[in-house]
Amino acid sequence: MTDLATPFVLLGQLDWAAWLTMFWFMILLEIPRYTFSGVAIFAASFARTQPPTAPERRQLDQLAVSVVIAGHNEADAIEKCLKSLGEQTRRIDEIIFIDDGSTDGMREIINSYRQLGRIDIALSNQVRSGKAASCNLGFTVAKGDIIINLDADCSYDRNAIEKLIEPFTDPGVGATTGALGVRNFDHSIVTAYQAIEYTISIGMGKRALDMLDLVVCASGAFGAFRREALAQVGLLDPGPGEDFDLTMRLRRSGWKIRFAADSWCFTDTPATFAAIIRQRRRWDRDTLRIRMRKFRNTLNPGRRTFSFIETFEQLEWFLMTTITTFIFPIYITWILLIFGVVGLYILASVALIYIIVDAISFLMALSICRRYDWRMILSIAPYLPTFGLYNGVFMRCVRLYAYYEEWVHRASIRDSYSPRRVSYQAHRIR
Amino acid sequence: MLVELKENNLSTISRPRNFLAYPRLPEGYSAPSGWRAHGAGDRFEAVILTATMPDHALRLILNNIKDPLIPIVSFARNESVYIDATEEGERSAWNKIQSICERLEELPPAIRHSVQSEDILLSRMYSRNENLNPVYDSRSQDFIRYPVAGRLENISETATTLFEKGYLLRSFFDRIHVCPQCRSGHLSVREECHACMSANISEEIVVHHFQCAYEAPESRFKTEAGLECPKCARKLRHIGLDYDKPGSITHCNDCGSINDKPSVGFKCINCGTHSRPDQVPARTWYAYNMTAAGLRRILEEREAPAASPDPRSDSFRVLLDYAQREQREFGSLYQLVRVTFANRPQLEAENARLWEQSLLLVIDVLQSTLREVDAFREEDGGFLILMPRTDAAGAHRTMARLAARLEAVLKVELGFSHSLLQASPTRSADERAA
Ligand SMILES: [Zn+2]
Ligand SMILES: [Zn+2]
Ligand SMILES: [Zn+2]
Repeated sequence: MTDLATPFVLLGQLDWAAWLTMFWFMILLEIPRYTFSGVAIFAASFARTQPPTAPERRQLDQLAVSVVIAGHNEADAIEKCLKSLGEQTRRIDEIIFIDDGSTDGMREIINSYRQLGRIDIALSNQVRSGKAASCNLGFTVAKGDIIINLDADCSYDRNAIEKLIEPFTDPGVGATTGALGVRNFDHSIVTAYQAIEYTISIGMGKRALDMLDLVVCASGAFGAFRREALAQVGLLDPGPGEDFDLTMRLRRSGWKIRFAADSWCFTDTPATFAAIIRQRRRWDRDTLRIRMRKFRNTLNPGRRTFSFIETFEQLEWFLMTTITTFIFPIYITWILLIFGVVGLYILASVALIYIIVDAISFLMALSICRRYDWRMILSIAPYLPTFGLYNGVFMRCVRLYAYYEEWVHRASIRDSYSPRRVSYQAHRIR
Repeated sequence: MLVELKENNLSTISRPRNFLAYPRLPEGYSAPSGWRAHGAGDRFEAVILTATMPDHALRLILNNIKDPLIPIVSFARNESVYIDATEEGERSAWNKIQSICERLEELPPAIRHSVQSEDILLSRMYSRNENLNPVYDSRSQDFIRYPVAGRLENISETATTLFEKGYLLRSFFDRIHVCPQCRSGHLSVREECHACMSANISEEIVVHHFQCAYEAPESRFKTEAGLECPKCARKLRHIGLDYDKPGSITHCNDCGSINDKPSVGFKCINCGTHSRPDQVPARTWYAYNMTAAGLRRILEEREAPAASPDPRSDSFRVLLDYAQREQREFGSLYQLVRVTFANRPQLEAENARLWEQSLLLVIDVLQSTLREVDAFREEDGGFLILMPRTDAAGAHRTMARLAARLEAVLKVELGFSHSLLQASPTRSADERAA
């Protein structure tokens, strides 16, 4: 511990100006964010959502629920997915599966489930159309008041759908999204890191955002939409990132997006560094593209539909995510240039603070969620000390690279997410 | 067919035959020589219909004709399924009658007048000189008819029995789905709604607009001016550039259900039952040819032992080839033994049925005495036995055991004897087996 103790000895001898010089990155950009989340969570714990009243329950019961699942080559995942839908406490009025040009026999499989009555409508694109279009086809034929968009490779808690639709008692709610957990947390070091990341972000981040009415993405893997809201803003636009884009449009049309914290969905996350890098590059590119290119004018106060909360949300993202990402390498370089070897101590103490903050966040998230069992907690806890390295350094580098790709090359429109002919046409006119 | 059609010559008839003409012969009709119209009480050997008549009237007449083999021809157009020749001209009708009668006369009395459907079926095939070939016939409940079988019922069952006995060979003709309720083959196959089974469905193309990812049935895009996207209000001008048609959906006009593909259902035209494809049994129909054994069966008046149609004779050949190759390549000996029964002609002459049963017993004994790897087949009134990986001494020992068992089991004296066919030179054994 001598190595770790040295920075503290050093720190004790500094005044606030020197502190700021050394730790401005953390003090200016990180601490506010954690404080912000902490305060929000603290507030949230006082304002716990009440279970619906009897009239509200009756109102919820009357809603017809359609489940739409579109997939490309997901034949193997369907059985598991249907099993967890079959266990739902909430009645599902129709299950619609769309096979998007699969070559693994998904079309035949969903048709045979349809014959067994486990699926109500099974449709198929013989030619692949992309996730957004397939979901749109499902949304068009769905008859429910609430349309729930799920992924074939996710599985759901027994009460996931019941909890997911509870916020719809508020007529202003246009969409909800649930909590996402990592199913394969014990598969590799990468999945363990993601399990920690999801735990903190779901338990702390999303709840905080929900408190402040800032939930930005009703996920395509686990989102529920009110039929009128969808009709008002139109359906999904071409992907990638179509779920995020749709949520943004709903928000701009004045619909509330709610986070149903007790509604749980579990999914397998990428298990190797290569896979996670690929996934995050795609997510980050999409976020940047949609935010910057499509919603640039949210920042324009002169626009007719200007809303403070939307602008705040955009600014928050811009400062906390984008700016932080760009400044982070500058900060490291700066510290090393100015302080030389001492800089290493400074960085070490920064890392130490990260570890402490991460541990606190993790524990808080666990105590708030109360969803994770001890086996999982014990299995991922050993990775907590190095989580800062994963989240603070590794992920930032990936994000930086993704921004570079998107900004300079507009890489996201060449994504293999949609078939080439579709994405080319879809983005031609932007 | 194994028997060639004999050239008919009407002048060779020795004694006159009677025929029944119905309703009546034309004034001054002169029948070919050797034939005369039958008087009351006479037996007749052929029926000639001279006018078109409704099916029910015809059936009434036929019901009065007890002989199921008698030739029935028509000079006029008659649709009935029981007629041997119709609308082919009088001359050919007479030829037909003539040839049928001649062949009927070749049958021994026991077969000619047998009331067993097996005999009748074989006799009809023989006398008409035709194979038992099925034809499609929408008037038949089964959709399939065997013209040569005439009024016989349960033809498939009878033919199957004859096939199992080795008197007929069969080849696949068709498989026809039948109603699980009434067994009728009159099924309407239709595309229908999976939910309400209505056939009132329509298929609609799905359109995918690239620019906005809207994908929906084509009708939602249709406007007077052409195609316009209801989501983004753009015009769809160019397939492949603006939009494409990735699939289709089926829409039920009765209950509104939507699906990928229409379901297939069967509706019985006969009883109205609706069935799903997996509930509908299929019936296999065959065409049958008479075997030499079948021919012997009806011409020799006693039952010839069933010449097995079984694949054993072929497998015997295969096993022999294998044993020969083994001997050539690995030097492992095989033995080919001929077993004969000296008393067979005598036994067979005395009591054919007893001999037949004895033969079945012999086969049982053979099967229990020989090893799994051995094979045998009937040949020249005896058996040819193949014993792979056996030396001559071993073969003799087995034969001695076989003889002892036969003596113990059978009541009759067979006159059993055996001889080893020399395994080498391979060639001669091969030829003998072939
Ligand atoms: Zn459009
Ligand atoms: Zn219907
Ligand atoms: Zn029927």
